[in-house]
Amino acid sequence: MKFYIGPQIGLEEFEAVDISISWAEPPLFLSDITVVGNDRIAVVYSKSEEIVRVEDFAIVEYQIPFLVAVGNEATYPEIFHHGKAKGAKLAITFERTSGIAGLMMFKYRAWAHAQESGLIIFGLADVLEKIHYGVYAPLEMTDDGSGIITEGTSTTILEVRI
Amino acid sequence: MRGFLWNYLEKLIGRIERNLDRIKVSVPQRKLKGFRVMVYQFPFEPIYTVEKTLEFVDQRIREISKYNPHVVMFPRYTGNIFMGLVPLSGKKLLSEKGKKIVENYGVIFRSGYISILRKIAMSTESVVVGGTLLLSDEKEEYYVISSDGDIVATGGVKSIYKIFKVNGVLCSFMFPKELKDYKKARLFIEDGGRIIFTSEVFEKPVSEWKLKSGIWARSQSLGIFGVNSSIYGNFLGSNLTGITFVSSPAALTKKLDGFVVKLTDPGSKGIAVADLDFKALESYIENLPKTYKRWTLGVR
Repeated sequence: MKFYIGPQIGLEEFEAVDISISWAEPPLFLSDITVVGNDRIAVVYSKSEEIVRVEDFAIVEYQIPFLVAVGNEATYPEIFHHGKAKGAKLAITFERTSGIAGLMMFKYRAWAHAQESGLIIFGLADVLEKIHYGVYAPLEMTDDGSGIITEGTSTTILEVRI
Repeated sequence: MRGFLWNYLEKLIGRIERNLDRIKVSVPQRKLKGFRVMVYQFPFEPIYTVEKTLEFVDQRIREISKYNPHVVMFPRYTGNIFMGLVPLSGKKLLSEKGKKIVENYGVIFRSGYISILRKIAMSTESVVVGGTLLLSDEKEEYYVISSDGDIVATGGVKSIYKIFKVNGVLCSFMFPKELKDYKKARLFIEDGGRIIFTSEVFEKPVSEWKLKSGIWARSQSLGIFGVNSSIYGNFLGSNLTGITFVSSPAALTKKLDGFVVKLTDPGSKGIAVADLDFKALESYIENLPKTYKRWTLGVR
């Protein structure tokens, strides 16, 4: 499956992806599934149709089920286990934090949740108005054994075999 | 049937226990305010004689007295260092029948090891988290001894976690396997627990990330202090390694790396000492999401 993480506008420059994930902005519907959100709400679209509106967390049925969690819920370990129990293979989270300490906590926590739950986690965090992305997976799923697929502020396109 | 070996070991342990009283060390006993934890990292080097055992105990008491911690922790398998136990235990060395015999000897080894820990705890007036004693392939036990010499917590891999109090702080020892199941750690925190002691060891080679996937990760995801004491070297045919550290949520650490203190070299002897700031931890926990207690074990 192909994933795109970044501003919706960037999608125009890339080949077709299955799921696009962006911090809150008008969706362009250029992917099969579009997930846009912030730390308060996330909306999931299939093509151009809204299928789920998430104010805490929800499991979205797609080719593979996935979890979407926003705000406080995105930091809460049991949400990920709950998602796993419901058949989710990956999780998409939106949260807001402040300062470098908050950013580090966002990264470490998401990494730890991935190790604990076995889910691939696509994390988006607004850190002082700058959107940070991090994709984490269980150690054994990454080539270098780090559990980090990517992290930073750049638009990213990923192909993940699940 | 006890036999020659049983009698020999009983005498050996008896000698150690009697001679422990010979160790007299004058130490400053007044504990500092706050909470200080001291963690050992040392190699697996078996000690076969009574004299060397006493020397080990004497040295540890002197070292611990120097730092005067509230809690001191020894690594996993520390109990197996003593009394020449190593050749008697382990999957690669014994038949099924042999293992059963060795398990019976565990009664004596346990008594000797606890006496050693008790001596250290009472001499230094520190709580001692005594690493573990591997009694057979399936049986591994830990012991926590109070400064009065009482066993305040003990158990094996499959036992329910025990809570013990040090200077008003609720602590627990958990085996690395237990920590993989976040629920136990989570329940402990909801019970008011603030420190988890553990002793992770890995077979070489191991990546830094693997080393961080245990208690360090729990510190980040659950908001708790973690204490890991590591042993290294060869043990029953395995080349062991690990890192010794005290972890906390990254936001509370100076370098924002989640380590309050960490020994840099996993292959050399060392002591890590940390003064833990519980006010900062409580403040961190208070600021965790308000939903923190809303969920119960994965059921919405």
